[in-house]
Amino acid sequence: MTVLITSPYAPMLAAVIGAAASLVLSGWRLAKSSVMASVYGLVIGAAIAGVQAQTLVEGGGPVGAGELHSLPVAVCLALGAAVLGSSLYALSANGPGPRIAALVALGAAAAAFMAATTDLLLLFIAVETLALCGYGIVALANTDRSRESAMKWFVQGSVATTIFIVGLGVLAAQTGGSLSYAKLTEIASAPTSSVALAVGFALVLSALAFKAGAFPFHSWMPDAFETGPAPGIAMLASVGKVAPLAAAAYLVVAITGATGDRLAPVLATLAVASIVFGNLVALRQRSLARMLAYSGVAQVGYAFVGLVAGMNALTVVTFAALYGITSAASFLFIVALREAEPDWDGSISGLAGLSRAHPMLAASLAVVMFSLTGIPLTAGFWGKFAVLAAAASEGWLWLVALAMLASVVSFGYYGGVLRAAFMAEDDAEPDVTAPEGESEAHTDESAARNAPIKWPASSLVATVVFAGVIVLVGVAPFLVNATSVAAFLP
Amino acid sequence: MLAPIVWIPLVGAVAALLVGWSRPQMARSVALGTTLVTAAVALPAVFGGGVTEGSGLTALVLDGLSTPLVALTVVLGVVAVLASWNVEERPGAHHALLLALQAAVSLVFLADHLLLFYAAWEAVLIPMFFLIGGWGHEDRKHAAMKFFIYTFAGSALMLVGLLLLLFANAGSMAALASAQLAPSAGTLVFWLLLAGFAVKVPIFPLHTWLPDAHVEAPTAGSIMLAGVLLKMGGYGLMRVALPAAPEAARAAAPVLAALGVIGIVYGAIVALAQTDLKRLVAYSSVAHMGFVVLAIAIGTPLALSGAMLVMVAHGLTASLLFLLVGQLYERTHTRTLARLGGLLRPLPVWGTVFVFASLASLGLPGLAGFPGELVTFLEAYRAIGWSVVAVAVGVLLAGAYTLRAVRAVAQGPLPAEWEDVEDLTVSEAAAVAPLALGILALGIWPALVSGAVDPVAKAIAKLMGVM
Repeated sequence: MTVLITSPYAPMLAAVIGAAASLVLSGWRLAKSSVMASVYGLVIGAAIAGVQAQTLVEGGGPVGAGELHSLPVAVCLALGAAVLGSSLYALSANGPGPRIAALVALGAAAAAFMAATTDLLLLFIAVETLALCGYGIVALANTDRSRESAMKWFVQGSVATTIFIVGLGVLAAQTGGSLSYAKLTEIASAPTSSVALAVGFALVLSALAFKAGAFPFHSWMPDAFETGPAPGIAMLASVGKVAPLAAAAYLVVAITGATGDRLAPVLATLAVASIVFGNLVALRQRSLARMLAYSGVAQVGYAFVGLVAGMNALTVVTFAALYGITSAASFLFIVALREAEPDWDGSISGLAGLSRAHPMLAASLAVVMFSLTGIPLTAGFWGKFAVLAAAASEGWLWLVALAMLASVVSFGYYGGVLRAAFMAEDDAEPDVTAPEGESEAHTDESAARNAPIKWPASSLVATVVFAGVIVLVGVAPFLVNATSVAAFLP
Repeated sequence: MLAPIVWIPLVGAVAALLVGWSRPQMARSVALGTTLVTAAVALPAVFGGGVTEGSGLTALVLDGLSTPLVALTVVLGVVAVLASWNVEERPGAHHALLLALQAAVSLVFLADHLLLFYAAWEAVLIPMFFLIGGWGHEDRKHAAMKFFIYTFAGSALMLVGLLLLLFANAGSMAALASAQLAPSAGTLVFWLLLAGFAVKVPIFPLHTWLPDAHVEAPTAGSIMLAGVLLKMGGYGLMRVALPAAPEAARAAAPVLAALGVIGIVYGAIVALAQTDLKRLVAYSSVAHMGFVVLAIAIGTPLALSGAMLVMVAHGLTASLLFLLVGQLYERTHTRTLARLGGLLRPLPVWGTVFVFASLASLGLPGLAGFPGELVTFLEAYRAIGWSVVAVAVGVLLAGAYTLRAVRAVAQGPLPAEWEDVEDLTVSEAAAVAPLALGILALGIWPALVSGAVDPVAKAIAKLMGVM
């Protein structure tokens, strides 16, 4: 019995069982129970991972569990559960909803596996599983555009798969077959390590960069995020980034010695390119989802700044987890707003009037945007602080200064969202907000409050709760795994 | 009793928001009550002398450098609430933002750990961003974004400097002096920190966000902006930058002094050319803050306490002027100098206070502006000799633009359209009174501020090796 708690596979197993139950129940047209089955599976899995983080000691097996690996596992599964549970209304009202839920649960399980494994072959399998779930989720929005972007992503994803396989082949040739991190560390730190080894690692890291969406491997993301079903995208934009970043972090920490020195410029280049490109292109977006996708490229760049420092995987995992929470919240906001305002066109300018029509939603949006910018008192600040402090302590000052200045630029678009949502012109016609005959609601607050809210407004509640968590972590950072922050506290 | 100075306004902010939800006009009473209680708690602590409270990340410190500014903040908090008594637009949210702003600014002046200092520093931006953008004038959206991005750009670089200090084992303010920085690292740290502080002060040529933000902000926002937010820059220089990197600060002194003098003269010349009364006051702030920069660059104990005197005096006079301009705007809906005139006749109380505040602003002896600027001038003469003539030109120009404003607004023929405007109401007079009294008190008895600052100023000057 105890093996159910202590096995490193237990959390993922619970999530997979939940996903399977979802699929079975969806056959009987029990939409709500079907979605809930996945939620239960993910919650149980996250709980087990939480216990493991406290009780297990990291072993030498191919899948890690304990303080280091169970944190991202718990975050991936819990985010999956939170995303599904809060999108319950949207998913059970919608035909393919239960199937999306099953894919989200399965994808979260694969992501958790990705974040926990210490063997490159297992990592490959987990990466591909998550990718397949992702293609399916995007296609399940059942529009021509979503099927097109799923296809596009699939084609580009196969290229990444090929790169990954070539990288594995190169590395296997160097190690003589084994692809465990322990063996890789041993080979990489040997004084005679070859350039081929660095090339192999670079290929594998490029494949992970594709999955996380770093420049120049990002081009699938904006289309997928814009056209896919928002609840599924909330998972892909959070869990789908936490896992590859965590996996990359564990891999980079495993690469030491001369090989590590060879890789640092590659990682720094990826970081700079992602930060600069993501920020500049995000500035030009009109659609909220596309803006979030491009800004996500920049965020992955900040994570790569942490990878460049390469000392402590937990700094990058902390950043990825806190970014994941914020990113999930931003897409839950979209889910909630779609429920409240079915006529919203998805544009940023369409948010005008939000602060009067939906003050709680608008306040949550403000928290999320400040967190993405990295302003103190939000979780996003501590994530950025963790990676930038790590990079600064390793002497990468110019990279840190660049990342900070890029954060300033990022307020151009994150703040632009707030500007649209909070600072409408008095005479402008509010775009968001209830369509017919309710324009007086914007001049009269009480009328706006009395506007009908569809219940169960689980997505609204979830967005507000997420915002609360973001502020709580921001005010009390010791709630996060303190290792990465604690070093700077007296 | 330092923590309540921060959390009472925060609790009040939440209360004002909740009360304002159902009974909008009650929110202002809640806000007024909150600021009065905060002042009642803070002022005894301020006059009680230096204390440190708590430990580690959340430690708070109240010493000679923070007492005048904390006192200024809690007083201006009351004034800002009174100044926005007539806000009709979502008063709950407006007052909640004002209170949150007060809490954040107080925390900047009280924080002992560099991380808490930084967190508070950035936290100030959030309520101010929404205040300007939500309740400002015509061009408020642009001004709000410009304000946020400008100041965030400075503080982003400042954070890099603070990180370096953290690595050098200087977490708390007291440990700064013993930070183990290599000389080259010291220079880097100083300039990184200066980036953050210079935007906030603002030091010429980084001042361009200021006129937009001041002019577009609602009256209460302008009061807090001119009154205390600008002081964060000077405070940061004296509290963090000078002790952390004294050699680098001394090396940078000529540059800083030059920029300060340029600020004095440039601010005055541009103020002289303004046709909008609020914009004129905004540019006069650039000139006054030039004195602060000059005094800090000189770095002698006397100059440093002079810098603090100028900061507090400017905090009182500029916020009084912004308050008066706001009250005028509510009556006339214009700030264009050419359309005003002769207002002393229909508005005797308002006009008298306006003349009084203008005289204080130009540095009339006996009022708040005089002692700080005099000390700065004298110390500047000792430090840079006859170059101080440039400062004297700035002072003369200050007289010119101030008296020009007085003549255009209070004196001369009264346009027919303003013959029936009404004088100050009781609540408006209540907002004006504490500032006017403060200006008088500080002018007669500058030791009110300098007495507290002197010991700290001596310690900083000793670190810098300037005595």
